[in-house]
Amino acid sequence: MESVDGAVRTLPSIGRLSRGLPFGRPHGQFGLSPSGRLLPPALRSQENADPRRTAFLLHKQWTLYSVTPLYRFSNTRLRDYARLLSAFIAAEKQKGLAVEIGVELDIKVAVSSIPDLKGSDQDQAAILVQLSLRSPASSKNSEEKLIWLGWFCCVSGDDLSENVPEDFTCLPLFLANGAESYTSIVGSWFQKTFDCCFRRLAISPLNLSWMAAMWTGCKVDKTASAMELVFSVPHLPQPLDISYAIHPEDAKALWDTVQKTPGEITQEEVDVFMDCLYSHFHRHFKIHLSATKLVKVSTAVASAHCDGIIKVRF
Amino acid sequence: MEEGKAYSPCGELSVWGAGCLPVLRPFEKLSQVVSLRICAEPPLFWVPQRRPLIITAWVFERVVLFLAGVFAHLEMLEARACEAATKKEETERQEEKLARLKARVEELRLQRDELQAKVDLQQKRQLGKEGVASAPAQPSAQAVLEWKIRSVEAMLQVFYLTGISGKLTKLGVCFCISTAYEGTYLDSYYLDLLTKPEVQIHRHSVPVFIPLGQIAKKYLQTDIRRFLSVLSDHLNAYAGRRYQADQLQEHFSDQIEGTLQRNSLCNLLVFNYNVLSKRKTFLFNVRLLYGDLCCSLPTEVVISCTPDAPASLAETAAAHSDLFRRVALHKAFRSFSSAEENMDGAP
Amino acid sequence: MDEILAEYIRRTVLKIPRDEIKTVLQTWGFLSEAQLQTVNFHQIKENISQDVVRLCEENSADIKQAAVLDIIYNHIYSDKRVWSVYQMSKTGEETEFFDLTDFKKKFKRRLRSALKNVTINFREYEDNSIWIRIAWGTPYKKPNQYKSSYVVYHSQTPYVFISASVLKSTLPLLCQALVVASNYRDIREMELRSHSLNSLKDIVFKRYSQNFQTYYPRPLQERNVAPESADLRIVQENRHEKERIERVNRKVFGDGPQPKLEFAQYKLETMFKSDPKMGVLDKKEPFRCLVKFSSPHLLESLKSLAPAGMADAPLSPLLTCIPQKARNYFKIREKKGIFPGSFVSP
Repeated sequence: MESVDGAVRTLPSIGRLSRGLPFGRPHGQFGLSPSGRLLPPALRSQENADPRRTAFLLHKQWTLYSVTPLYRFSNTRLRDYARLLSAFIAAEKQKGLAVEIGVELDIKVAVSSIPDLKGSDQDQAAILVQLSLRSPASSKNSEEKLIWLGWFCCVSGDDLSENVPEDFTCLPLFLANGAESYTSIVGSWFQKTFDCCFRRLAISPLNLSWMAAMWTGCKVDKTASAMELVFSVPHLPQPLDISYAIHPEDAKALWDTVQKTPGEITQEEVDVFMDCLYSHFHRHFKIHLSATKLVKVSTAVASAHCDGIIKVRF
Repeated sequence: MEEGKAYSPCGELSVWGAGCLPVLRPFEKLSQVVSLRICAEPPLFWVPQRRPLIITAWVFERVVLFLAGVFAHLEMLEARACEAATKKEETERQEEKLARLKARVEELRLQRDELQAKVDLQQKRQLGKEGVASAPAQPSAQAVLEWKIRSVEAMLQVFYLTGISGKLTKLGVCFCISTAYEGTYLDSYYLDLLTKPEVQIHRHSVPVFIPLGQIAKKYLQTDIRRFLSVLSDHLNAYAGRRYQADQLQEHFSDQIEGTLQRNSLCNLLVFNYNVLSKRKTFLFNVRLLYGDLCCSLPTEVVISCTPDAPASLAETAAAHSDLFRRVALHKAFRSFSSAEENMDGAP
Repeated sequence: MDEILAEYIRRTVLKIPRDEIKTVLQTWGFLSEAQLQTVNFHQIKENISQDVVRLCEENSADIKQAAVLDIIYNHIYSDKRVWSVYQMSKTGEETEFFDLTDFKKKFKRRLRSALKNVTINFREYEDNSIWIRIAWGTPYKKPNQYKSSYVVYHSQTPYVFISASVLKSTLPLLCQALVVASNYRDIREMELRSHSLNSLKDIVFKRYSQNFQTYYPRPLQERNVAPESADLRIVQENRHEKERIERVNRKVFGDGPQPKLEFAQYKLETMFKSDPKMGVLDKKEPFRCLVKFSSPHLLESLKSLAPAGMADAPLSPLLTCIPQKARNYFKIREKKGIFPGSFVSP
């Protein structure tokens, strides 16, 4: 299953070579490391996980951020973090910055861990941050309104976790749902407290095409909506967007004939799948979609935008 | 925080996450799909051993292209300078020619009917002759086609003199019908005809309310010349009617009461105008109907006026009505004004 | 003047950009110049609108005047609505003396016979267009002025431009009245829609640049002296190809500006064809797709695709036929017969 071929096929675009490498690791080691080419089979605790505990992740739109490792983060101090973050938010509010809410409203902060969400045993469990509003009038009653959600997670970060020095916790991905002003307050508290750095995570067209292919292959019971690819044509005097929606059955039929390698998906298969769709399009319109930019993919399963916004519909 | 500084810089290290893209297993569960792919996003640094090769090739390519580009650019600048000079000269020459030809067309327009009659007569004769000749041996398709092209070419010559110009295109002919009214050039309309396998209209810019379909149905297959001349008559008459109405609105708005009502074809004009009689102003209501679409003069004129008007006005109305039928609208009005001046001048 | 009417006038005024309120009111002509002098057009819109309503009350405005103001607003800002083109047809070929008065009478009579509670207003413009505004009620309810339909008609043409009311059930009534009033027999939607009313007119009246080849083509040079691509590499590599593309593009799109459309949609039900060597999807059923193009100026962006290297030249007839066929919604099926590479749109 772990083939040398597979690695060669995943040659990235030239542009990517110019990016920095994490931890300043020497080049060769990273590319040749066999562990890099294989994904762990599944979320480890999937079998005994309660789906209800992660159900809140679905049907929401998430904005993605990448996060550098957290310094001196401890899983046992989540309650303290909630208290400190709450105080921080209150202070920011006093300063009259960012959040536009009535003074009489109080924000409750909860920080918890979601043990179900991790890829391997080495992974750090995902950390969930919830902000809810409660009105002082009914403070004793549980009249709380969830206003913002964010979670840090690490799935299959073995490679990273191994290399993270002591005192650092690797939770490289942060997903936020809710007003951006809250994201920035929570983000700045984490950056201050754990000496880390947040950054909006863009999804490259290459990865969008992966998502398109993978999600097409997923079986969805409900009357599925079409698989839609949205392209934007750069450098024209007038901007042009092209939406290419394919009937889910036909898209799946195509993918099923393209996907041949048993037990895995290769870059080549993804490429063939996209090329087939592009050439079908070209046959009709004489436009080269490969020269345009794939900006959004949406399927019955989920949608993802290149700006780093995803929504799980499933 | 000492160690921390080494690893948490100011945002330069943008990429974090698991380096796990290349081989994926198909999955059944969704949360897995999402998290797997998301985590795999940032670092995609594969096969770095190829890097020097690619970069060398890339740099080399750039150098070559750059040099080639400089050369080409110089060459292009020179060519363009030369081209522009030629173009300018040609444009000037063409404009001169155009002016000359327009004058000539105008002169020849008067002879148009005569010429048209001749053409028709000749064609009838030719048809008669051909009818006899072609009866024994059916002409080949090729021969017919050649004949068609020849006749089209000949026709272009003839029509050029009547405000219609044409040019052979790859698949047929493109005609330009210029319109004019009393020496004033008005709009031009285009008609792109395909001649193979049969004559048909490919594209055109004829206004939609001109009965092009009807005219084509009648003449296009059988007699292109007739088709073009009828169409040209329609267009000229329409342009003429519109021009008259425009002139009236432009120059005599002070005499017109309310708005001039017209339809797209300008074959019905309705308006009110003031008439001075015995130092009193009366209102005439006119309906001009242009029953002949190939004509820019009305076929029916109805003038009515208020019941309290003096009987002598009926005479004026009849005189006006007669004038409208014979003279261009704005000219008719010009003559009313001068007549009124005369009357005013008289004691 | 009742509350409802006052509020309607007020809201109509609020829709107009502040700097243009005065001009629009002048065009309207209902308020005298002296009255307009009393309004401070520099204050906030809210106050202007109240002043205007006060003046209208002085002049005791009725729904007819309010409707005319609304037509004027929609005529100036016609781009704010989506217009759809309808085509009428008739059996006879006789050309008529279209009489506007007659048309209005017939139109009103027909609509009123079907529905009593309607507000119908007309306004003619210099380009010979007739604007019709219809506000719809029900047998028991007064017309809803906020959900009106707008119709633009040029006499003696088979085309009607309709910006329909959100009340969908009113469309058949409207179509019927149009057909009767203009002496046609039938009416159908053309699948041609845009925000730009003028471009739709250019398309159906064939006023857009079609690039006819005649004796006096415009000189080549002045056109398109766009700055040469800064990338010198492209100049060398593709000089000849570029010239060819330029030529082909010009032939297809012409020299002039393109009519403005914002979208085009294609429902594809054609076979999926691929290299047999790849061994992918060999189905006898059509591959179902829905392709939508959207741009602030669709035809201009399509025109620039080939020169930008994003598409072949010539571009597919499916795209270039839009103005010619006067439609921007298509359903494409495989053409049966000898040319396997061609498609039809029914």
